Amino acid sequence: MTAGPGADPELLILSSLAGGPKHGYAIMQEIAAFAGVELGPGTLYTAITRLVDEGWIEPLEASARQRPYRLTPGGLDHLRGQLEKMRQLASFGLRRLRTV
Amino acid sequence: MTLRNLLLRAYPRSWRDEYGEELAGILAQKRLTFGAAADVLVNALRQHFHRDAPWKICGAGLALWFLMYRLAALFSHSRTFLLWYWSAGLLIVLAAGAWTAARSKAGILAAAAASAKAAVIGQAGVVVLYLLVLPWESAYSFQGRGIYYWALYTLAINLALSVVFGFAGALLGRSIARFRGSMDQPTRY
Repeated sequence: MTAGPGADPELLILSSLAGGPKHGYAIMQEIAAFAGVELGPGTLYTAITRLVDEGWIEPLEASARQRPYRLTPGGLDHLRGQLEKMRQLASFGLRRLRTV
Repeated sequence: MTLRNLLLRAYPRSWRDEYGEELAGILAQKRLTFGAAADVLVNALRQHFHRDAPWKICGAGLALWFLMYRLAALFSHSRTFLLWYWSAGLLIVLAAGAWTAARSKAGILAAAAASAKAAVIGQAGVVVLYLLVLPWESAYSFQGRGIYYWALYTLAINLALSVVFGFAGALLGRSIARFRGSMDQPTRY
């Protein structure tokens, strides 16, 4: 996985699912497209397992071998909170940079 | 059996029942590079740490440690080396009790039992090694006692020590659980 700011697999998955339910492979592809991060299959499913356990995402009816996941209301709140924190940090850092 | 199936088998059975089919689907669609295989193996290990009973993990660690020590003992017999052997072994036994108590808020007896089970599993490899060596060592005698006496004596001492360390581990684990409860942090793995 390419490291970098915002490369937390769980946050990336939640961001991807904010656009609608997806299965694992579609999540991987979308994350690679919007964040330039290649999640390994093991990393992806460890993060999915934790998100399901936390109740932030939930599985839907399986189609073939793939089971789509969707955000729960709790997951939406968590994602919103995390992104808001990142936004505050980014605007603070950018303000500081203007004074350099 | 293909490499993909072998990689899937590295996961705990309970995890495979839940997510195995999906991961198999993804592995079938991706080119299996060394990096992808390593990623799957590392995360399979993480799931074992999260799902397996602590005594199984600590027991496996202890067995590996004892076997490595027996191999290393062929080359060194220093007292420092022996101290490392015992202290690391007892720390692993302590960890089994502490981990059990911290994870499931188990009672002191359950944690001590977890430590004892880890000690038994941990010594299994050495016992097998002894059984292989015994036919050649049957003439061994120390203070008038044969090798069977000393093998059982060592096992009894180790088990007694493991229960004591299990109790200590349980107390440590309970403190950790209380601390984590007060921090109100979700479990990460």
